[in-house]
Amino acid sequence: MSLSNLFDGINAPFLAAGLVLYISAVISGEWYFKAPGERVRFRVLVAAASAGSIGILSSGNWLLFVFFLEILTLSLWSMISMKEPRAALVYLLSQLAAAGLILVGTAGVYAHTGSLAIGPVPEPWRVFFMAGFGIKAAFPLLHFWLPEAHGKAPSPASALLSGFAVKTGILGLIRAFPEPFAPLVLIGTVMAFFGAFMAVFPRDIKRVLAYSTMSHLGFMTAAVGAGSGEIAAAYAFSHAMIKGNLFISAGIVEKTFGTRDIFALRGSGRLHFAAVAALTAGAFFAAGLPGTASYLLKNSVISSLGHTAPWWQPFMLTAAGMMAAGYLLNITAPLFFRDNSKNGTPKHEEGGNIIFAVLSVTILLLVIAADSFFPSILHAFRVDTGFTPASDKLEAFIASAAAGLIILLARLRLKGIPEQGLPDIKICLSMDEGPLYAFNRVSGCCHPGRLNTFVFVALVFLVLLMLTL
Amino acid sequence: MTLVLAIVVPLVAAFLIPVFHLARKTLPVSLIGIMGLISLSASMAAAYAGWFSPEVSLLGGWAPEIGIVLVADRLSSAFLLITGIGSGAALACALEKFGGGPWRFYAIFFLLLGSMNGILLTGDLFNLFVFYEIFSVAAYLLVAFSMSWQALEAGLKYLVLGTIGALFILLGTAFTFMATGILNMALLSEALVSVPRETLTAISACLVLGLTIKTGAFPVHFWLPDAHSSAQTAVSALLSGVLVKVSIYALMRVCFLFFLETNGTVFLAITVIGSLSALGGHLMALRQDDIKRLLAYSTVAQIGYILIGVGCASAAGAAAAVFHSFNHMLMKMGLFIAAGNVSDEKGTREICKLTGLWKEKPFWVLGFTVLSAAIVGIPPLNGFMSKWFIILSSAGAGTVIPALVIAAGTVISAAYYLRVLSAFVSPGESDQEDPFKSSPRKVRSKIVSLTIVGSFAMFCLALGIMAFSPFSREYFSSIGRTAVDVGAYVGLVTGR
Amino acid sequence: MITLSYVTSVIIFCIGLYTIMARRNLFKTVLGLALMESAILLIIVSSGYIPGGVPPIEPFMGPAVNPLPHAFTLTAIVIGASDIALALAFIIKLQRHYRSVDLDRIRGLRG
Repeated sequence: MSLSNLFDGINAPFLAAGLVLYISAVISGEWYFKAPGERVRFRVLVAAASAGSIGILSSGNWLLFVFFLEILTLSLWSMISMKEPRAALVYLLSQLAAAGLILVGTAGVYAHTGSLAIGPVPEPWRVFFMAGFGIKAAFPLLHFWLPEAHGKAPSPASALLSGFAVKTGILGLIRAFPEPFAPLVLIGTVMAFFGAFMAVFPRDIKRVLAYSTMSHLGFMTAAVGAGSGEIAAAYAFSHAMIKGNLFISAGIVEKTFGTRDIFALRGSGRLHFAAVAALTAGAFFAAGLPGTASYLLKNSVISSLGHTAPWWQPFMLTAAGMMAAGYLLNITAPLFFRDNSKNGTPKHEEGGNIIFAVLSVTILLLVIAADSFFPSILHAFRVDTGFTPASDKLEAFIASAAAGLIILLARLRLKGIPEQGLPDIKICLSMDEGPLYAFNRVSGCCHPGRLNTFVFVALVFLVLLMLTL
Repeated sequence: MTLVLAIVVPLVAAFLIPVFHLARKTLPVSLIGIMGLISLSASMAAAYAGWFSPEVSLLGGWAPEIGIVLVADRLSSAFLLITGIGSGAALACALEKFGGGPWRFYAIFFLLLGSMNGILLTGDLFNLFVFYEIFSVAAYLLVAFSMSWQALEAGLKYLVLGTIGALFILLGTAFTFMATGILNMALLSEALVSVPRETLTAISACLVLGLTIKTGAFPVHFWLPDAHSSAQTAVSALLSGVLVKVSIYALMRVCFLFFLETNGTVFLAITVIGSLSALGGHLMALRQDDIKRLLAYSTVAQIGYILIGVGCASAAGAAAAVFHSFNHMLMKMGLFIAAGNVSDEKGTREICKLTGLWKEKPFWVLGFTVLSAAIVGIPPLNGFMSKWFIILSSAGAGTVIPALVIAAGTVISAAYYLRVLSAFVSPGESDQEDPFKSSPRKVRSKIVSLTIVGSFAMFCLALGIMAFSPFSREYFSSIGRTAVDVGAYVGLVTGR
Repeated sequence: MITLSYVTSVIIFCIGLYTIMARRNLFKTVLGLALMESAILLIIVSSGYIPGGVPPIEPFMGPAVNPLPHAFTLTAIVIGASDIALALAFIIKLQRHYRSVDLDRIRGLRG
């Protein structure tokens, strides 16, 4: 364990992200928590979490890495349980399982090589690291805890969770798989698409953001699998800033209007512009529009896959990137353009402090700075930071069109979805959806019939089909 | 000589107490305290002697082939330390709770202490059985001491299963004697190499089955939750913290000496039993509503962890098992004392009724929290490190499934300990109750018990951090090396 | 002769174990324990037997049987007696509480 580890090429973006996020979490926590006792507790927990984070970044062996991961987990668990003890329990148990798996893998590596040092993992033990860090980084099927924890935590804690805690999984993957590793690309691709697709449905702003995090983690995982850990680290930094902003401003919106439901928030931008503006600005950067860091980084990830990857992987990633614009539009557009007079005005509680909205925008400014800062780093490792090569332009266009179509169809079909949870797949599909309906009948044995599992099974079948072709 | 004293002094105390009782009806607490101190210092002296220079004493001057030998090496010393600390704490709690009144209790307690030291020090298989039976009879009596119907039933259950276990040990001893004609454990470890395979299988099956029943591992654990939950607080703590460890010592000693080179299947069986115990214990604990039964099933699971360490059949595994035994003694004794005191004052052991304690007794809850975090394996407490060592040695032995079981156990135990803790911190009934109805029962403050819980919690933290330093790790791995070094043990006893 | 005693003891041991497992009456459980113990003692005693041996008492008239198993047996009898006495005491206490020695009626503790 040495502090010099903090500043090496891969840890530095994580360290920077951690610094900004912890400071902004403390500041926004001061405003978010009203009771003095809660404030003190939150401060102590942030201190513990930041100590854990510094430990994670500076540890030189896997045992200490897990040791500090658990300290981070515990402090975040305590933060979440300030608001939602049940979601916190799910979070804690899943993270303990992850740490246990990594410990078993570490023990195996030690038995194999006689060293605990952080580094590439030999073959038979990779599966434990994949599973352990997979829970941390919310691989599909292992992601069950993420929407719960991110959606229900107090907003400053959500920012830390989404900004830093899940990134420790990516950091671990970068360390354990420095060489290109095809299964990770596959998982990352599926995850990016699945997360983006799931983010279309929820009405809870923070749940949308949680699935969005999953989608972005998919991009990072794909980058790790392609062997370009530097891009994943840079992506992690940029995403940490964006999600820090989004979750904190979602907290501001929640505190100001007393709800996170998009339907209830219709037209709220007209009532209290400052509260909503921060969220919208964050969404603008997260959507990956040209000129932002996430645009640049998404493209670097896609181009880092190189020509060895099958054609549909960049295609799916591009589609997932485009869907980000769709689901973020989904949660921001109603704030300004829908009239809410039918439902009555949303509960409007004064106290949305503009200073904090500004604070979260300053985080964004850092992202813009990163936009001009990271290309130089990226240039050192990657050649192309522009849009996808000319020959792929058509493909990118098709992908975006497909993404738009999927979102449009899904929204139309699921207009009357219930408040909580996702509908049964049988309600959503009818005979006129031909292929999807047939697929549901065929795959009915593999999933319990809920929409999210159906989508996942469909994706897996699609990927298997692609692999066999 | 120190070795003989470690056994004789507690036995003398056990016989003196009834004599003193004839003179005075109620014994002064200080008298029993002093007796306890003398007995414990005798066992600590044996531990000290055995740790720094392995010691043998031939009883009556007979050669090891004929007579009984007492041996103290680092493994015995480590367990002497565990039992010493544990029984000291239990005695202090009992003295605080009962005072000098129940002289029979203290007589049985000292009998137990003497027989435990006997098990830990003896080098003779039949003598081990004899001490084991004294130990067991004393334990049955302690479990049933309160004479409530639960305690009697638990005591009877323990007695029947314990006697079956003892009979299997006796059968194994008989087979061993028939096959080789000797009973000295050191000489047996050499002689068993030339014993036919089938005989060896019968011997190992009997001994391992008997010792497993005594340990309370999963498939034959039925007596343990009843006995540990029905007894009084101090006895529960003693049972879970100390008595189980003595059985584990006997298992380790017998298996390492006899079967390390002759019958590797034994260790595979121990690993399987350990994994089953860990999973089964945790899953059963998850379903309990009674806080003491929950802790007792957690003990079953922790025994599983220790057995996984033993089953690695390596120095690292043995060291991890001893380290976890020590940690489990600290954690589970503290937990039982805290849970017992808290539920005595609330008048119930139902977890869902133990509410509002955070406001009433913050120190107890704090101690319970730290200790349960330690037993779940939260860094930087000792449970994390001992689990890590067991996982490490299990992976080193080439088996991953036990390591995965331990990882899964962490998750399950976190779930059920959190359930207890969330009950503790949730607002209690007294918050809503009207002030006239509630009549706070005057309960004597349990300052000694609280100090013990607090110091055990501090000890857990200190051990967790110390385990990182190579210096203290060297101490523990030396225990493991002693445990598997059969040649050194034989050389020590025979003088070759 | 030796084989006969071994076979007998194995049979007795199995009868004892069966009694403990199958019978619901607590007294029969204790009887089973006693049977198991006797079986093991029989094994130990017969293991010391030498054909044509004499009692190991000075002065020896020819080859003496091994005295060590006899000593074990005596010790084990004492231990077994204390176990069984304790078990009977518990059963008497329980009988006073439940007015029964049937295990089906004495089911206060779960699991």
